[in-house]
Amino acid sequence: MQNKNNMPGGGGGLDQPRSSEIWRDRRAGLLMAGIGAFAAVTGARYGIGTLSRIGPGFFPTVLGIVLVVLGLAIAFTATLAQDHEAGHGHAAQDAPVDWRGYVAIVASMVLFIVLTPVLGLVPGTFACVFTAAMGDRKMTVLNSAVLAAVISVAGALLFIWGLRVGLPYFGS
Amino acid sequence: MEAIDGLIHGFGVAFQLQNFAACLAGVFIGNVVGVLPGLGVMTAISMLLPLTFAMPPVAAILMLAGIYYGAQYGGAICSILLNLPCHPPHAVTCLDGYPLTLKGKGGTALGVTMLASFLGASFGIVLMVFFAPYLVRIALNFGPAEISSLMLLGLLAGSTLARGSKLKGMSMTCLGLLLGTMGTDINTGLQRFTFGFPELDDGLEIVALALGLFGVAEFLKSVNAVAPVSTSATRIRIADLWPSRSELRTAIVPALRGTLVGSLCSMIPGTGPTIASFMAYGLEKRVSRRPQEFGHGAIQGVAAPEAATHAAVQGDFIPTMSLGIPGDAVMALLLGALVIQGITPGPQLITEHPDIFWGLIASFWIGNILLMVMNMPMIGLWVKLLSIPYRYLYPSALFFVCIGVYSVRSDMFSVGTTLAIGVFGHVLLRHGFHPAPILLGFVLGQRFEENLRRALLLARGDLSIFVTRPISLAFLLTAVLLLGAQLYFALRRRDEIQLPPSASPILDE
Repeated sequence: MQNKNNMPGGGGGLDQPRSSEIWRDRRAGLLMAGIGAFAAVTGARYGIGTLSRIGPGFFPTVLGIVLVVLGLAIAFTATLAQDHEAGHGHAAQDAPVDWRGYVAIVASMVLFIVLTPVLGLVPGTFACVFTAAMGDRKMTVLNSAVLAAVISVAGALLFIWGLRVGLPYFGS
Repeated sequence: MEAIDGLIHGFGVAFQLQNFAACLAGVFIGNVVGVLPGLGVMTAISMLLPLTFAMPPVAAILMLAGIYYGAQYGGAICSILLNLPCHPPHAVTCLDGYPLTLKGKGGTALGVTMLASFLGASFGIVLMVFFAPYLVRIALNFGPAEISSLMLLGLLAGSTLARGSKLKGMSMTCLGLLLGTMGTDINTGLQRFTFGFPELDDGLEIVALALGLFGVAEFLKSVNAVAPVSTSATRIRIADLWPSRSELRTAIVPALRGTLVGSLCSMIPGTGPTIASFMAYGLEKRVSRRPQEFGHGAIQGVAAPEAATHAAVQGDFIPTMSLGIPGDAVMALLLGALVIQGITPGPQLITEHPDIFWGLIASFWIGNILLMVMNMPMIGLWVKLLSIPYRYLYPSALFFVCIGVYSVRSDMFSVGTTLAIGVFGHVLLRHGFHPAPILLGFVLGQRFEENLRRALLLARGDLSIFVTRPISLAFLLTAVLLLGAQLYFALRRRDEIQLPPSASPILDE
């Protein structure tokens, strides 16, 4: 296991999952169980029907129940169901979230959604690419701007002129 | 001979200018994506999926398939020259490929890889030519009960044989099936899980789902985390690619064995190229008279897994195209593309759309030959591409994601959905879930429910129909067997092949 921030009391090999991993699986299992419960309850409202004529709620309800069972199994066999391959190239799931990049990527898509219908594809793309690029710690403002300019011009030409996507270059 | 006639027809289709161009574009893009650090096959195919909507169905499928097998060639380059297991099937190639590069034999390793790949792929294609029509003939007699059981088996295999925790894999499949129920129910017209959004009445857009899970979620995970790649140690000349006669002699038998392993793996539902390549490597090491050479640049250690990967990649298409049951997420996406083109996947595909089926098979050969020819002179370009930093890639890719999703329905709502799915997918990734089975469940969901309903309707609600019909019973028994085997292996620690730690947190299909 590639453990970057050594957890106290952890540091075991493959046999002894660290406590952080157990908690990760607990959360994971409960998340699934929660989604399953929601699906089952909502599905039941759609009408389960009978076995010979199953209703629209039957399939979601069954799946929801299965998901609850699987989720609970994940949560409470966390030590057994260890992801043996977690150490191979999956260090990322243990590394802390890179918030700068995270916020930049989410913001860039939001900007694209908000700006493009109002200002047109070129400004929308510029905002999207520029914001996303600024999420990388090695990117300078100038580099991001150049990249964004290149992509917005090339992208707009490719999609509007080449592929006839129904968006204006500029304006709404 | 039906198969030979079909194949001749297929070559006629595949050599039409438009289709040939689509195939060329597909393998080229695939090869580039395979080489580019930080972009996976799934990301690439889902990014290009919207572009194919405007194309005729045959060209669209040839191109998407080309991306898939083209990326396998690119992935091998990554592994051999840089010790980067970018694509899981090629991770094992690092073990002997990179030592060969260090010895200055990287060119030879690449040459052997190309020949072995071609051998493996060709065998996989031949298998498909003769095996698929046979499968189709059996499958055409399936009733809804058999189809339901077969789908259950396929879903189970797809979720448990993937990497990582089996329980998590199965829960991802369930989640995918649930996502597949979103939208208007076909039988009753009831709106399910639309949360009051009229945009969701037609269900979740597959492009939004795929780009959220394999685009946005991956970017969120990889931003600032992909290490830059140094390509200084890798200067390859075209002349280096030709292996010597003695090297060829060492490689040929392992490549043949690898081909067999890969083909066998493609027959077992759910065992894709990754498992095939690992098995082929393990087998080679076991039968070798000098196993101590493995890991220090044994040419067999490159030839066998690469042949196996390519045989399995081509074999993957057999159940997908003949039964309509995808073996993994890539195949699920291809099926999704077919559905969008208005083509129903299933055993009737081969008779209703012979152009697609045989054209695809013929294009495999053309594509593989193109890849061989293309790779020889372009190896220098690939090496340069390897050094493109991730910080230029992901912002550009993000734009592609946005405009791609938008273009499907000319609707910003889908872009928002993609963002939401991406954020959720990132949560899943951080909790050790592999999102690939979601797509499998999503694509099969509607047909699975439909067949289940019909089977129970025909049997007047008698559940025993699934075990009294022999073929259906056989599928269910296989599924039980599969679960039993999984349990057995989970309790008994298997001997693992240690991989070099990945320099960048890339990517699992």
